[in-house]
Amino acid sequence: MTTFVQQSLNGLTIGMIYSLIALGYSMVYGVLKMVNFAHGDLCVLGAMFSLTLLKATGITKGRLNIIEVPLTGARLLLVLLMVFLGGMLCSAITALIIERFVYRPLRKASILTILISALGVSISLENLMMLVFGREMKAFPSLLKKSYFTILGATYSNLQVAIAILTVILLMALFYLVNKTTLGRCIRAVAEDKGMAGLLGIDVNRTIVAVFALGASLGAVAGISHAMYYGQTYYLTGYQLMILGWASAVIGGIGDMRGCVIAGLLIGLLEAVGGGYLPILTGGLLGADYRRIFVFLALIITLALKPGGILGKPEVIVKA
Amino acid sequence: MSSYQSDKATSGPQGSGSNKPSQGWRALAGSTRLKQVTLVVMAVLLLALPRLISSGYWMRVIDIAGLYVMMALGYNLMFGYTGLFNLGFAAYFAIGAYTYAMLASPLHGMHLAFVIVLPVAVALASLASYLLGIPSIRLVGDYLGLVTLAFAEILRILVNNLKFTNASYGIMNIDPIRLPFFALRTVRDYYYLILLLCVAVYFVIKRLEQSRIGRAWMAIRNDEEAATTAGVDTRGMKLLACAIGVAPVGLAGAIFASMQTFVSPESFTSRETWLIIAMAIVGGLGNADGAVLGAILLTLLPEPLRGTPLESARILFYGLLLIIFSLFRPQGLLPRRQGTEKDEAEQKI
Repeated sequence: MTTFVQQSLNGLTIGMIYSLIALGYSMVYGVLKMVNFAHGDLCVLGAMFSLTLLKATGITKGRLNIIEVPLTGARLLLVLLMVFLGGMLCSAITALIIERFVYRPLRKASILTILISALGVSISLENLMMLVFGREMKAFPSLLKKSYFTILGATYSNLQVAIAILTVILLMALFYLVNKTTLGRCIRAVAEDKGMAGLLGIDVNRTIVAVFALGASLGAVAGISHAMYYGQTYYLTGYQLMILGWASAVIGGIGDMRGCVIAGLLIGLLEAVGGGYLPILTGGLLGADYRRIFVFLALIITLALKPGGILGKPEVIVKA
Repeated sequence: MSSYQSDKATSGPQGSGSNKPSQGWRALAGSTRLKQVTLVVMAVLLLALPRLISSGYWMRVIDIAGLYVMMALGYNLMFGYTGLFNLGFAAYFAIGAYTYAMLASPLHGMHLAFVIVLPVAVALASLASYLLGIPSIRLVGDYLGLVTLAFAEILRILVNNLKFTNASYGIMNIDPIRLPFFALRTVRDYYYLILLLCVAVYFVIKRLEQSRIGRAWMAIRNDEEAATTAGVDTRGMKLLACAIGVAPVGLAGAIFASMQTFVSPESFTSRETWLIIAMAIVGGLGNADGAVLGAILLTLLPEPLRGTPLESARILFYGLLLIIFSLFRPQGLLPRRQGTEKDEAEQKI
């Protein structure tokens, strides 16, 4: 029972991060009908950049990025703001550059050409990050002074609570933005029908730019949270985040924001609970290394049985 | 209206085949003298290559280029002819290599002859692709890509952790390929085997392209609904493309394992898949000659960078090539020659 509660709590935390990434995929897919392969790398770019900021300002020191003076009060708040806003800004600007110089000229090209260009962007970005930030795994400080508390026999850290609260606030803000504001109406209109939206006087390009910036910013938050949660970041992490975020978006029904959030949480749970029980059930024969297999099997099964995702519409992605 | 016409031009019974004489041996017989001379010169050069190159290092690079030629041809068949977007090619490379490694190495104490192991490796790769295709083949474009990517990840996790495959340690002391009188030991010996297999794969794929099956594949790529209406069994044909397209990849994997005498999960990351995709795209999708050119160019071009500080920018080079070609020349260096010029302008990939 304790294992179950513990793994569920862990799964929900990581699932929230996946939800944020999945939303980035889903929103870009909504307006451009393309999968932005580079999204996972944009998430990691946010984390890498904020780590560089931490180092440059002298808050963390040494190869292991240790925080020597514990952060408290207003200083902690300022540092957190710097880390998150810096990361978001860096990811968003990169996303806009990619959109302007690669995806926009290709908007009328065949879908396969666009996919290939997105793949090119993704591997270029990974390699660039390796060249700029280095090829080693980097320690990422959690910034918060660690404290733990117990719920139903399971330990929960303040970092996990912080990630959960941050995600919920961001999700609420995003849903408000998309459903209640003018920009949100434009985004929904462009997702529905670009041509018609343009005829009605909506600036389609500006809307798409806004979606890219929003998606990348959410991704950067997810990337930074992920780095804090695992205490490390690595230039190839984006590849894993790409598959997991994309899988969440697809399982939830791509283009469907509620579905993405639910699917992200489900995938987090599946990974954590599955990974937690596998060594116990098989007597240590199969370790937690196999946990991602559940996620990928769930993806293949979902696409085979309900290709539109758990909440989506099937006709978009299946032929004949 | 226009899509209906273009479809008729490529998939109809008198489609592309009648515009140009069919390629392959018949084309050789019917082609101009210049073409024949070029082919003969090329054949002589290819056969004499090991005599002209003294460095074993470059010989290995050329062997590896040959393996990539086979894989790019397979990718071209799946993506270029049939339009199936596969992001998991590294998985089939791994299946071929690991099948060979497990059946002909001290790991399980099995030392089967290569005439048995090679077909088994190819068959297993094809079977895996076919079985994965059964639930997923109806998905379009990027979704099929995601499923194949997920499959490759599952396989990588398994190979990296199972005791059966010796986990992340890899498999060592893999048997070389033994012919009746001698064993292939050096990269020079392997060159001739790889050359032979490349030529064989090339001609099989060329013949398939010209056949009813190839025309069905291209009809599916151009317009799946129209192909169905025209009586093409689209599901069966796509599954066939899945199975045949990865066969050369499994073959290349098996040869790779015996040539290296060592395999580990490190050699089969997604990076291999991206590389194969870049080769097929740069060469020209839907054209077997393009795949060959792309594979050779992209293996040889970055080689001079080795040892320089630019070496770690190798992947960046492939990534930028993909972007540049998508933007400025989506049809690749050697575009496909099927259909009318109008078709080519319309469907640039």
